[in-house]
Amino acid sequence: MMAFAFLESLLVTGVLVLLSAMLPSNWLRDGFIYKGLIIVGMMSLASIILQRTMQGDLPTLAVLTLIWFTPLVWASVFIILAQRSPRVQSILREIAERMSIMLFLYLPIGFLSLMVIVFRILL
Amino acid sequence: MHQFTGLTRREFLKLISLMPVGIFSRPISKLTRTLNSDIPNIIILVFDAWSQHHVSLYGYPRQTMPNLEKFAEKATVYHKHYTAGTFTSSGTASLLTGLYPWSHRVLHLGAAVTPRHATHNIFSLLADTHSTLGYAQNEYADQLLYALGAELETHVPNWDFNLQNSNPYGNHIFDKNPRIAFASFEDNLIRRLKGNDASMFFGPLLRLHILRNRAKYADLYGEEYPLGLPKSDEMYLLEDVVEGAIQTLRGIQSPMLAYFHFYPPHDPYCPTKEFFEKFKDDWKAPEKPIHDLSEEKLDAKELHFNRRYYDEFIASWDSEIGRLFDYLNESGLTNDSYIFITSDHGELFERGIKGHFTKLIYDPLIRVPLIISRPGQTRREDVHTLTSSVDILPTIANLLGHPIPPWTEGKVLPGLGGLEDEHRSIFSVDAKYNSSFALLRNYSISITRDNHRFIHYSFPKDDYEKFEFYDLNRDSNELRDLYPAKPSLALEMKDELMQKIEEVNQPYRR
Repeated sequence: MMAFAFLESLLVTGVLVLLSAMLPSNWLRDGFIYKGLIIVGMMSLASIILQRTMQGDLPTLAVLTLIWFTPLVWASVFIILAQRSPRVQSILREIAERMSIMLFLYLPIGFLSLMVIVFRILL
Repeated sequence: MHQFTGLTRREFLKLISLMPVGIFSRPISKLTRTLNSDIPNIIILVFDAWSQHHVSLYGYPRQTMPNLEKFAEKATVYHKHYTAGTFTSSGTASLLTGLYPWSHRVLHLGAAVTPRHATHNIFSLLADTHSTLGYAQNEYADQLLYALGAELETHVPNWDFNLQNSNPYGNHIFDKNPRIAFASFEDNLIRRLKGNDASMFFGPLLRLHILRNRAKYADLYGEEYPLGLPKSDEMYLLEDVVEGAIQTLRGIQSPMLAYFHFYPPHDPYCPTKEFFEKFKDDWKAPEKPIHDLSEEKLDAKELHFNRRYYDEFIASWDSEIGRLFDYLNESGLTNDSYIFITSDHGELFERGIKGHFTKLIYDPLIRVPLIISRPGQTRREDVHTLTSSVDILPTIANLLGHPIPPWTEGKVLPGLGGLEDEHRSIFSVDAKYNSSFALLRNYSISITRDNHRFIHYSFPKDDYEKFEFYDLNRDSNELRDLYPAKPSLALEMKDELMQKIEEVNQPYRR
């Protein structure tokens, strides 16, 4: 599970880094930490809602679009609002930094788990 | 006396040169096994969640299985056959190992046989004389096949005859550890519409993919199945599954032990258009009071509808499986094979319960069909003594002249070399709320003996204990609990059960 979460986190971070490199710098690269936090937070919320919606039947295209795009719209709104408030930016940065402490545990365990799986597959 | 003083470098090099022989000797020994075509095949057909109470062959008033009746005209029909487990993993493990759940310890869905009995099963029993093939459409039964490893020569993946496959554990990169991959995905990561996924992004994406596929197939084949397409974890068509089995049997190399575990008539009950509403009649099963332990507490009307759909699904399955029976006859396999047709467990539509994943343990859940066709059998025989799913393994051993393994808890079936034992006790065990590694304390166990049933519901976790006792001759619907009067047979059976529990708990006492 840790290995899978590790890969999934790498992928999400990778997509964000790629986007920041591709988009104009003031869209995402400047203030990457707080903007990334808002985007990941909102997309996670979308993912949870999507899971709850897709328990047995395929939701309509309208519902799917709504679930995916509403958080994106909210993320954009929050980013625009945060851009205007240095205090909100510093709060979000503070949260991100405190959460990053978890990485000292999470990254080695995730990496180790991945290595275990790789060796089990290869040997 | 010559004393070992270690190896010289020369001796070490000589020995190491033998290493490749050591590595390859096992496969070679398998390849050089002489397959003697005079030895009969063993073909086991398991229909999942198939209760004897719904089969016309056994006197059910609805004509659910005419093709099976035809097949049984040249076979032996066991009328009092009971499964040792009450759901797929547990019931299938008993069938394959000849052990009761308290011994094989597959007490939960997806669990594995305890290491002590890991090599005790029909496949290893016949490994020297038969090539082996296994197919289990139910992924929990499939896990038991995966656990066999190299003992199973041909493992047909469970999704092979389905319309879709979204099993992440079936991916080739997990070939060496399919069971760990299955458990990781099933328990946490991607549960494929069975609760919530831990995976935040891949989970919903896979859900979307599965549901899109389902919608596509529903559009394509929905007209043929008015209540929706049958699903194991994946959608399938009854005809495809039967066709897949026929094609697989076409390629077998005799003598073969072939195990086919089909998902139908497991829920969801999805009759075909031809059989939908076939049993929309006035017939009603006797109503039974809702039990204290009933989780769902469904009312009689809902149970009645579900029973009807189940019967119609069985009839749909019979219509398709009839083609497999025809193939077995036309191909001559009935002349050189023992064919076993049975189930891993039954299904309940009473006391507020629909299905089999329940604490309740009554006749429709544990009494399952068993029909065995001997090579070249020309007339029907009927056996009315009590038999159990743990008897299948020793019977196969006996039929093929193998010694009966000392570890099996079953007996050779009457009609196939065994003796009729009128006073034998048959156990059915459900302990899914008990740890597989601890003393057996939380369970529902039924003993059937001398046309009576004694049931012990023991759930100390919930502070619940109940004993029930039924006279199956006078009260086949198990409606009048005689235990409050404490008849002597009930007390005798209670003592027997308590002794048995004590005995099977011994290895787990610290």
